[in-house]
Amino acid sequence: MTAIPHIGFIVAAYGLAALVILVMIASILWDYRALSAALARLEAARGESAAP
Amino acid sequence: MGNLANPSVFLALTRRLLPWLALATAALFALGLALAFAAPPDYQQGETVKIMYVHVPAAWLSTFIYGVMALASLGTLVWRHPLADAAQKAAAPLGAGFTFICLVTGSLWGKPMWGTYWVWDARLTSVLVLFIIYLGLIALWRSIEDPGRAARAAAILTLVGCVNLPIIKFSVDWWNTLHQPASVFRLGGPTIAPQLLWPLLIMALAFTLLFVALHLMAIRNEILRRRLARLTMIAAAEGDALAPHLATGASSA
Repeated sequence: MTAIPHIGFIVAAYGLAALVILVMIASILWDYRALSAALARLEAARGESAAP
Repeated sequence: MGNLANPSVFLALTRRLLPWLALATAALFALGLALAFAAPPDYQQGETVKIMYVHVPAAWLSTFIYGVMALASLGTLVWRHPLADAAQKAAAPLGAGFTFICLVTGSLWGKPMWGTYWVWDARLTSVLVLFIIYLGLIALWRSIEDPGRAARAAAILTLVGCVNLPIIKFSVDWWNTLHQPASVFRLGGPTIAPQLLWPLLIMALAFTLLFVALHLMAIRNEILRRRLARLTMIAAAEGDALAPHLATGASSA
């Protein structure tokens, strides 16, 4: 079996691209979860304070 | 476009679109990667040509996203579209991410092909300048507290930075560069063999759909961040002592 020339460079390029894309997706999803949770807490607190 | 100015309409549209976009993006990536790894090696580059299937789409996106930001900047300064500054702010980190992929994968291709990771030629340097402009825009958004002032400042900087786009595109024609000239979008047609061109085009489409999906998600986050800021201010004005505590962790960026 012949080794693919420069395989290390190819794997590094794909690995790094995948990592950066995953970090972008994760950070946007994490931000969304944090914002949704904060909004839900604030709206719940406002609902409680408005209740008789 | 008029309807999309309403954040509630935009959020509803995003909710419906995102699952389909995610599905199409995943399918295109699967197809593109399968074709890329089944494609024959290039007669000069050998198997190293496989790096092109991530490098070239990332390079295209790096300038395309800047074009989107320039349009959004016009939307902020000229048409005063309510979501234009959110679109501009949301695109900057994505532009930086794809430009970073372009620079590093290009470097990883350059070492075996050119014998060096980096040269200060016109194409590489102008793309590095683009990356620095993206970082500058992210820093600008974070350093100005008033969102209106930040949006106007970022829009002006974005439009000034547009001068770099033709420099990137034509740098390989205007100067002697180590980087090869255009081989896909050129007057005489592509110079790439179809077996290598099709995987490249499919990967480019996959990257573009990925950007569209991520951009919609990031704009949605900006809308929620503004809603949270507004509600926090209302709660504070009403004397709600809980408000600052409730907003913790979701007020940055």
